[in-house]
Amino acid sequence: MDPYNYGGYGQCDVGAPDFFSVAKIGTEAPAFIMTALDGKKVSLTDFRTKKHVFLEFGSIT
Amino acid sequence: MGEVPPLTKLYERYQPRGFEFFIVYVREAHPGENFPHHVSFEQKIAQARKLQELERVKIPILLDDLEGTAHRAYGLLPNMVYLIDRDGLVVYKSDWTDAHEIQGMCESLVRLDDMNARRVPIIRKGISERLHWIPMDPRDRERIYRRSGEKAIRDYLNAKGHLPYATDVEKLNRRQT
Repeated sequence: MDPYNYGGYGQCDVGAPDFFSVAKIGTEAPAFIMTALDGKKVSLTDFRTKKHVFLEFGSIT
Repeated sequence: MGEVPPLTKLYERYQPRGFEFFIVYVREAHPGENFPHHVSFEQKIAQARKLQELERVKIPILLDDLEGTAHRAYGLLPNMVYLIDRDGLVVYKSDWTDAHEIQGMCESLVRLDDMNARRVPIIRKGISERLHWIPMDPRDRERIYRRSGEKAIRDYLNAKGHLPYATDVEKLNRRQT
């Protein structure tokens, strides 16, 4: 089974890093390129010097 | 994910004031029959659209890749929140969505922009740490797991030995009777 896209709740902590040991306050945010629903690619660097960026991670369930 | 209506308010208020807001759609936290774990990116896109529809999400949704690259880089929690300033620095991170706290941080960044615009000569950059408390209606959590399907409920019971927030549900029921 895929350890990231786990098939059932209960395996969800497998391999999880300590939340406060990554992407620390005051450090450079991890770079990302993600896909918007219209198919466009969005990179964190698109907003450098231009905007503050809010991210909420989530799923349906 | 956290409560959508308070976040939508924050989005409408701060988006015109120098902010971009995004919901990052990641793996399903409680996969079930109706919303299973992702096996293809196409399925992930389809479920992200469903999320937008079900929760009437106005905030733009970004999809992490199937392997969860961004999710891992930011700490893998199911409902975490980050604010990143114009310099690309993490200025706020939270293990769960706390709309009051997020609003406070947005105000801080608006103040910072204002100080920079007025060329305030010295701005002391400091750091703070705190606990936060978020009211959670156990009925909402149950609703979300049930929406996922019976499998999600079974998995939760197997993992925790009780239904989500069972103690709170019992307290709530006692108060109502």
